[in-house]
Amino acid sequence: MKEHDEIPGKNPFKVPEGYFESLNDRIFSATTGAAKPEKAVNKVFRLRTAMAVAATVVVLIAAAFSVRYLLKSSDKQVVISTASLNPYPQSLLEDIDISMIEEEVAALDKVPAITGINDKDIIEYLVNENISETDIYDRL
Amino acid sequence: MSGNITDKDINDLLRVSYEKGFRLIVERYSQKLYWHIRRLVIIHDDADDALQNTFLNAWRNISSFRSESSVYTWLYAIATNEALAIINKRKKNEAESFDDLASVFANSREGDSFFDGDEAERKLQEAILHLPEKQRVVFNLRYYDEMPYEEMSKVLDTSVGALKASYHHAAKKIEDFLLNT
Repeated sequence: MKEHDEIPGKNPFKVPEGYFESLNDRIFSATTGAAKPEKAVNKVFRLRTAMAVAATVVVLIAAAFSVRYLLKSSDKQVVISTASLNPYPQSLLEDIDISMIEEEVAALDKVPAITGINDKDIIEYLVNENISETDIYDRL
Repeated sequence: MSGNITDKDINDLLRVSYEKGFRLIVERYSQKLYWHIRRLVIIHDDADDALQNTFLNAWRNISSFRSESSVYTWLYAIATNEALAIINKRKKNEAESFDDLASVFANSREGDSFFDGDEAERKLQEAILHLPEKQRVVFNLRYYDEMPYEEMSKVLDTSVGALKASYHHAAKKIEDFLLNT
């Protein structure tokens, strides 16, 4: 059976028998069975979304500038302290008082010696502390 | 039923339900689009593939379709692109060039499985196949679909003046072909 195009202009082509009878069903199963299209969103909602995105971008830019400013400020402090560090070691060396250090060292030799205690007293003390006499003599 | 459906009915239904609106689109346009594609790609299986792709694209993009636009021009634009995609794909494969298709027509006879025209129709199709791609589309839309140039301008995104010139050149070439072969 020939199924001609019904629109003007004579159509010389043929289609397989029954093609158009099943065509729409095949199209429906191939299309509406596929992923559903997203529902259209109204203009107000689209505008609101766009404004939210714009606001977020502004906030992010502001945050980026703030961070950059803070980083720059901290950089400046480092620069100042670094600059002041240069003369610092020299001043430290100049401030060291050699004679004071010698006096401190000499004072260490002047620790008073413990008097009136002999070796026997020490051994007795250690024995009382449960340390064996053999161990004591081994270490002497 | 498809004869009673208007684009306004489709637009109204699309606002309520994409699926119901789309069903109306398919009922109204499936056959028209098939023939439009078939005249461009000639082979039935290719036309069927392009038609399925046309409706698949239409379904996927139905949410972006604006109700103030014409369903008719929107669908014809998609269908034309799908048909041209198949033609270009075929061009890359030299074994199935349009010269071969033209020779298929030249050797076709009444009662062939895909062609049922008489000698004059066979020669006309052969002449159309020898036209450049754009002129072929314009000639088919004007001659077979009787599409107004203003509508065609939207479908092909080309000025009315350029389309008229294109149709004029196509008609002249066809006339020459028919007279000289």
